[in-house]
Amino acid sequence: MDLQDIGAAIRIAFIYFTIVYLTGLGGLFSERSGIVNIGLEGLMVVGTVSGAAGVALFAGPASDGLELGPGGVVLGLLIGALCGALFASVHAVATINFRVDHIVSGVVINLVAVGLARFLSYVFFEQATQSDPGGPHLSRFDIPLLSDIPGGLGVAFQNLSPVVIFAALLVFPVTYVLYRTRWGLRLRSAGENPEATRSLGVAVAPLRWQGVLLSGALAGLAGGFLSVEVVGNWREGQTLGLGFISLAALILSNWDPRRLMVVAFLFGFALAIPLRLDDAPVISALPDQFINMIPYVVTIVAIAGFVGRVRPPAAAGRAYEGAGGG
Amino acid sequence: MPKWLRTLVVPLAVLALVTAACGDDAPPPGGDGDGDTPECNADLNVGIAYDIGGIGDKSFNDAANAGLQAAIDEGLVCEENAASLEPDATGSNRDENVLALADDGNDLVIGVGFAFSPGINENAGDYPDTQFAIIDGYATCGTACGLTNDGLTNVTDLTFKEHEGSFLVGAAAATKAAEDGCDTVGFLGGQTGPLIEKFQAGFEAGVAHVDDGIEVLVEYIGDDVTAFNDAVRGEALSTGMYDDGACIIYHAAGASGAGLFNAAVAADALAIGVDSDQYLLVSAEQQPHIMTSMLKRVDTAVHDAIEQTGDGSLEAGGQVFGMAEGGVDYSKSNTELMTDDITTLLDDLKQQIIDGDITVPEAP
Repeated sequence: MDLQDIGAAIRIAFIYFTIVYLTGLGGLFSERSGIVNIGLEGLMVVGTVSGAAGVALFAGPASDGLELGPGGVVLGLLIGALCGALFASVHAVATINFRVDHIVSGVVINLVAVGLARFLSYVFFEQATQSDPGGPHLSRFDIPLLSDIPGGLGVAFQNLSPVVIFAALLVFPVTYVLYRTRWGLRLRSAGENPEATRSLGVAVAPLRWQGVLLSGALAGLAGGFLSVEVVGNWREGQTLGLGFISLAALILSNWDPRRLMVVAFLFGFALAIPLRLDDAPVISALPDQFINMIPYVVTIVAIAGFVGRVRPPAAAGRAYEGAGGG
Repeated sequence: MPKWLRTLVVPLAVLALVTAACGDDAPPPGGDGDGDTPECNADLNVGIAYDIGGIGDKSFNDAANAGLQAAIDEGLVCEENAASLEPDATGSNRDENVLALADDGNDLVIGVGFAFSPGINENAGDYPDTQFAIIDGYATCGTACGLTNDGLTNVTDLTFKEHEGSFLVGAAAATKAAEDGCDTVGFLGGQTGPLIEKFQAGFEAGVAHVDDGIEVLVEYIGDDVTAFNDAVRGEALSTGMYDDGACIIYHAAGASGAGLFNAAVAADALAIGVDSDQYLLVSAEQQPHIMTSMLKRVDTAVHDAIEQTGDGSLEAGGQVFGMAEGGVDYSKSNTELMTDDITTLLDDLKQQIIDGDITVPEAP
């Protein structure tokens, strides 16, 4: 193990960070508004297939007439986000309008997503389980200054997708909107005490709808990032439970976008350890399986040990009876 | 909207969606049914149960389908007598598909993938008039492999000598590495276990045969089946091997191989594909980095099983497709890298393997 391995591990951590942070932020908006969303994995799955389809449409070989270049890839990723939001609206209708149990609806989202992805794949790619490999992606770039760090650590900041930077910078607008704007206050109040929100003349249902749609858009974007920017094609099952890891990260972060950033990176780094740092001291003595458990063990320990400090929005998971009337 | 109309609309919409989804089944590629197959063996009925991925996976299942289409084109079986079923995303209904095809009275039922082995081992006895064949199967291994039944008389395991094909691409990698003055190559495996170790053993032997001074780095992605679908880890481990000096990496990691190809482009190094000719499947950006591929001729195995069932010569037990049977090979599509020097050497090695002058080890 040398510094280059650490640099490479950090670079891998950035990739997992991007997926976990985007999806986790999605869950954050939903749960802060009072709707528990364990369907993040399913929303991501829809994002992987529709993002890849969007990119094939706007930037693939079939789009020669469009000549959108990188703009086409961005447009394609936005299609992934849009489809994620559309699919999340199923969760919104069920939980907000029909007051279905949030967990039940979330499980349905995860189960339906697998079949829906296959159906969409037939529609978009005329193949059941994958799109053509090596599709177009945004040009990679090196972060100035940081990528020049000597000794191999600079590798961490080289050859990155612009989406990684976008995800990292999201912390600023999200924190501002959530804690410094009227809309953010109302969204949080809908998740803490919807009756009080309503009594002040603010409609709860639209806020919760916005929260859930945002969760779909962000998870869809994360899915598109995975299929388009990381792998290069859509492939059935490629999310491999990262949506659930995002959920764990969200809980561990105490539903705070700044802490979520740290947790997402730590989870990403934990996932990267067996890939590049398996010959480091201590780690080399542990079996791979143990290293792979780290994110989950940390989450369980954190929840068990910090009960009271890890506190979900008070009304999350509870149907708001007045929602139908606004 | 009146209430009676509303109650009608929902079920109708669902019905429309379901029929639209199910009624749109495209015919399998290749079987265009242009009606110019005048003679075919109408006595034979064949059913194929595909594994996860289904038709269109550009790999295993598509290769099996190609074998079926070849058999149809040769008139070994009539198109209308060939049935196929695809499993759901997790493959949980594999066995149900096999039983459905057997219940339909097919003479031959082929399971495309080793995962069909336990189910067919358990159920084959109930269908004495049906022949079962399993690609990469181990059903006839019986209780020794932890399965229920021994001594099955109507099951054939169709396996491949992947180590022989891997030997050739190992020799190709070593030759190219030596030319470029590089002393390290790499192997990226999917799920740990004896099946993928055959690829590793053959590759290492092939490298050592050409130049035993070349080191082979080995990485496995994981110890469960998701290891074949994790391109992120595939890319990370490949980048690690390239960083450690490998100039060519051979993968036997299924869809995780996409990560290897991404890493090869980023490192401006070479990669070797597996199962099908992956040079033909990747993007133009990746093509110059795909030196060759180890070909596993699943189509040959399917075609031969159909042919032998037709003439009654399919024997129960194991049937192994090695180099001599045309079961494994290498691809020459990247003409830039697969120079005459290399292909001459590989074809010579191929002949030596067929003649038995070279024995390739199965375990590393």
